Amino acid sequence: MNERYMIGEEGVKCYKREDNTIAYEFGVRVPYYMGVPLSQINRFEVYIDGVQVNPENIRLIMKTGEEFKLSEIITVSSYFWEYGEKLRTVILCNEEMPKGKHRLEVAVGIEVIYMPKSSYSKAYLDFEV
Amino acid sequence: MAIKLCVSLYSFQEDYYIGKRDLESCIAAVGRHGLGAEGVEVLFEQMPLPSMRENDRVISDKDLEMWKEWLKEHGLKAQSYGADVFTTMYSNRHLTKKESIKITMADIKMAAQLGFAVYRTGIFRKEDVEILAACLPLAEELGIQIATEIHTPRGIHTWWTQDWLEVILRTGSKAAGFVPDMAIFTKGMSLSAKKRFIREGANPDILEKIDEAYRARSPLSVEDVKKMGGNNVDCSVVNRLNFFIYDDPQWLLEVLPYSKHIHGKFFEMTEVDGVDTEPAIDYENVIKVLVENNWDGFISSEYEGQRDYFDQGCDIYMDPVDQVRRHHRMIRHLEAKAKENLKVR
Repeated sequence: MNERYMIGEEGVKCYKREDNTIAYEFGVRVPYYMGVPLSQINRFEVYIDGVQVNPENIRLIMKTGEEFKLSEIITVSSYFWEYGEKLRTVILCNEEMPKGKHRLEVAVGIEVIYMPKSSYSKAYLDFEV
Repeated sequence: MAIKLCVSLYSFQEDYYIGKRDLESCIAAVGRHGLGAEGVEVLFEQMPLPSMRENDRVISDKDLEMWKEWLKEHGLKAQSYGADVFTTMYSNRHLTKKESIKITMADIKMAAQLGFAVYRTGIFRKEDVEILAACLPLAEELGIQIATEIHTPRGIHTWWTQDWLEVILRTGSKAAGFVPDMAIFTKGMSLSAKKRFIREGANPDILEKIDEAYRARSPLSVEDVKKMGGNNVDCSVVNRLNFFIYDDPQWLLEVLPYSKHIHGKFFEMTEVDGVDTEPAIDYENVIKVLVENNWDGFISSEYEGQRDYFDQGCDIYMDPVDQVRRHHRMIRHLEAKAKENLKVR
């Protein structure tokens, strides 16, 4: 659902965080027709060049600046991923990706009463480092 | 008596999703300076007012004032508040009945505060009937109707509709009703879906055969399509089209006394002999039933075909305002035609 628009058109931005870890940040729009609390997300996977990024290295940053790990979102029911919001998604790395072309893929599932538990949307974006 | 026109802001979801419009701009497109509709339908879970998120379903005075100003400025009536029974707030469990009732009641209060006539919701599970029935006394007190959507593939003659009808008849509550969605009268494949299936790799000739068979009310099976040499996409189309149903428009009479709002679902407008037409849905016979029975509620245009262009790599954009304008013209045309036929009789 919504694959065309899922990954923000700004692409992938690389920067160093305060603790010197390297961050690759991009925006993801919710693959549903409404905004949802983060607690409603049942799958959030990121792949670089076909290899899944360790979920422990992913952070979601809210409009208000608060940051959550994927392992925490099950309890986050008062922060919404609004319809159309490009949810700031960050991959934390110890070293930079090799220079050249890469493919980012994002797979997201939202828990909805009338949709099969296994359903999710997956989109990709090619970018260059 | 005339049918009143409304627009569901769901129609403008693409513009909102990609940041071309905000809530106010969507309302402006519907009102007297735009499409000239009488009513507006909003799905606030899609396009929330700021305080709805900040204060846990308590609307601020500032937002309430702003909302009333918008309606006044654009000459609109708050017609339908789109909601669902809240069930899956958490990915690892469903809310209990008690939790769902609490959150639905808070939502109904907010809908009434915003002045909406109809609280449009849906029934998916048996317990949803109980949850909504428990909210009826509150809805009566607030003067708002809890209307469950009759939505494909759950038609008029299924328990999803009949169980709620039983509640309406048993309680005699004026606060309980229906929102029939026009896609329960799907007579064939939509133009937008057809184009999507072709982009996915369907064979156009086989698509036509699948569509013709559906329109003749003898839909093809996956086996039939395989025998024609259909590929995997062609076979998947059979299941995707069979998600839709065609209820007899006369069955509407069973729910019309409890319906003041109809979802004018449509996928893509086109012109046939210079006349605006939605080839997927049997608007002509439904509007005939509405006119013959002097129904004067709201038809809320709900444009959904844009979603067929949301696949990765697609660059087609349909102007939703133009689509809704053509949909409104079609309704008025069919209404006039039905009235003319009544006179001739």
